[in-house]
Amino acid sequence: MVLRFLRQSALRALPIVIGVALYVAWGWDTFPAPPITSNISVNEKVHRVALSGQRNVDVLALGSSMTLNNLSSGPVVEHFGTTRYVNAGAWGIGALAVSRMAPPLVRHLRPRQVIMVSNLVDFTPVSTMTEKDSASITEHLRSPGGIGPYLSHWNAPYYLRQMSANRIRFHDAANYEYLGFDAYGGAALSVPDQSIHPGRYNEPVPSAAEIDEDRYAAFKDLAQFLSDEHVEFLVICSPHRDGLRTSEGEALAQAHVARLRSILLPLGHRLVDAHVRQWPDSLFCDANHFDGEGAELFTRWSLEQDQ
Amino acid sequence: MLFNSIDFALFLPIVFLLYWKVFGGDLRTQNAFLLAASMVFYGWWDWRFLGLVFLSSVIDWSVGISLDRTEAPTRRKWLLAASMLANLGILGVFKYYDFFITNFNEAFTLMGLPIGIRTLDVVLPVGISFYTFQTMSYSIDVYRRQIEATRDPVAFSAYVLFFPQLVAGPIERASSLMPQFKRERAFVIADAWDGLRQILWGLFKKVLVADTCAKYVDQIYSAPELMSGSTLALGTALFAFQIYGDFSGYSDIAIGTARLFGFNLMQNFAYPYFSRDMAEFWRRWHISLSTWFRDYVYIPLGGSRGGKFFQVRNAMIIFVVSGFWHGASWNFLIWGFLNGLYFLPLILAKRNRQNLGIVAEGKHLPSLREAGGMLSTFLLACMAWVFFRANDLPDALSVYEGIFSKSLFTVPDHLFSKDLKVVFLSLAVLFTLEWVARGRQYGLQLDGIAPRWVRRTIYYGVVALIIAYAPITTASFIYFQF
Repeated sequence: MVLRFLRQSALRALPIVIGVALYVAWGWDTFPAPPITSNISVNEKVHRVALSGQRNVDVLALGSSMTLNNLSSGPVVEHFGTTRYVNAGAWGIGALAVSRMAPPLVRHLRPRQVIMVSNLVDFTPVSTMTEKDSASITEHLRSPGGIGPYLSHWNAPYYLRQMSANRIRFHDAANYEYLGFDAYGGAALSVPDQSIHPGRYNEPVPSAAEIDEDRYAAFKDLAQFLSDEHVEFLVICSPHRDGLRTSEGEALAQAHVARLRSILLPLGHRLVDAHVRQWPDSLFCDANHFDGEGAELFTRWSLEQDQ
Repeated sequence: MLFNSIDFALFLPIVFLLYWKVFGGDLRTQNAFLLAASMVFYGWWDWRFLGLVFLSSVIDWSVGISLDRTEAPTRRKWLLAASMLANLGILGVFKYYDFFITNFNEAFTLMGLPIGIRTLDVVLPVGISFYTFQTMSYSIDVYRRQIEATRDPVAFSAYVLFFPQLVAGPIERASSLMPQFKRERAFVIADAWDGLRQILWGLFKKVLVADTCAKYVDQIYSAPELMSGSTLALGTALFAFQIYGDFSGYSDIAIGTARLFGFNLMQNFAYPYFSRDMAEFWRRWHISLSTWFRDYVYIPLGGSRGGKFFQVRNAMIIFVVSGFWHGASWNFLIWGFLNGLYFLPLILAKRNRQNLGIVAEGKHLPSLREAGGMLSTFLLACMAWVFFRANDLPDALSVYEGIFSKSLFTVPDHLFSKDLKVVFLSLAVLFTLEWVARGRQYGLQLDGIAPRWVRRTIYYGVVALIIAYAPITTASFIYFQF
């Protein structure tokens, strides 16, 4: 009787199981990475690195969405003359989170050169990442892959909801959360004029009151860590859209660049300030992110300065 | 272990199979297995507090045996007092000590005599209010000679630790549940199906109704002073649905799970938001606690006997104590007091037992009078829920201030957001099915009401809704904190 009940229960659950399995199979290419941290973009990036099996790369790009979207992969590959390049940039993180993400990724990929594209926005308290997240990244990079990480971070509603959201994220470059990575992990935005978000496009340059000292401390730790690991570090200061420049903002941006330079240069690292040049608004999708064409021009110009 | 977790989804079928197929032959081993499974279930949260549950069990089991052995009334009274003192002592230390000390400190400081007694800052053991009340019910029932004391420590511990209802009820009466541990249990397939359906309904209420409402409610109550009156009113109404979905959902899963193991637990919620007055509401909300207070506090105090003064006094005591049972804070005390105030006009007018039957029985829709009664009862309940949900008294007052302002007549924030559409869809499904099944034990008990194909379509529809819209973040059950 008990077994009959279990058999009947299994049979009645079968249509549900088949339905879910079909749904997952149908959207398999959008199946999300395990939620190892609270940041979806970081999870996708780390999972991609783990699955690729890559070790000993030449160049690793680390940073926020400015690294993800503004650093065009083509010019990087050309400039450094290597295809052993990984862009591990992710949206929704700032200087503090990058400093937490860096150790596991650097120790796993062993790059010679790290690039970070950043500006003042990364030094405001917009996001955070904990030591626990850092440990989760390390653990995930060490894991053999397969179904294990999914079971240890089991959250069925999360996987189903993210599959649905990823249909847009993975395929629509007009979406600001675009995660349709190129061969190296970069994601160039292509937002048509009519889809540009006014709030994002007109977002003012952060004020002095919004700048967080902890982010500078974290950045300093990152620079020191890379120095200790004998990794060259190139920081490219990404510009704000020209239409948003104010005298107050310019002064703050210059002070920011000077401060980064004072951290980097004594450690033998490099900095390129792309903010010194004017970048037409037509190249931007919002206040800080270039579209594909703008990203290529920006990357090419910035790397030319790093001679 | 949470009912709505993958851990429980694996735990339940394994325990079910072992319980019936491996340990099904012998009652004692079956009880021992249930006890072991319940220990795993509780220990999954924090095994260290298992000792506390066992302490409570040992005390009441020993008191029960001693009560059985003695006829001397004075000694019996002392034994019962010892049980009450021990259980309420445990509850007092873990739940109420810090509240009293904090208030004593504040009161003496106000008088210019700072005493600075230290608080304990201990973690509140999950389910402590539930299992201490259940063990006390056993000692009282044995004292009253309503049941015989059990000599079997395993059966008794299994009764106290029975995992479906250990952490959030229903608070079973010993006279109802204890005998079920003493008789052979047979697997009845119809009961198992019924249990499974009730689990599904409970999951729907928890995952889809409560957790989707929670997101909106948490946002609003995190900064009530910044919200418009209409947003606060909507948030409070959604909290009313959240707490109902959360707690009655838990109860449904508990009752359904117990059915899978051959046990019958009492109905804990009987469609309280279909109540026509507050007296009916309290007969339908958290029934196991209301009847506990009725049987063990209200009636011994004299109940409805005596003059109006005693009736009012007894009712107010019950409501205030019930509020305090929920939590050691002024908010819960005021919540209880406010509900007591709602009750008073009904007692004084002798109208507290006028709505005993099912609303609109035999009809599809309620009359205007019934609908008006249900709406006003819901609004009164909501006004009290403000104290239950607000983080502290100033926040509760902020909510009232906002609700009773001109901004009540504005469009609530995020009213047309996708998240709220899911909330409204789940509420529509909840109340449609519960209205149809309002004479039954739970909303999916539709046998004899709808044809089989309709019932099956509804079951699969409910599962599909859970899969499609369950929020990513699972909130813990609200009543775990009590």
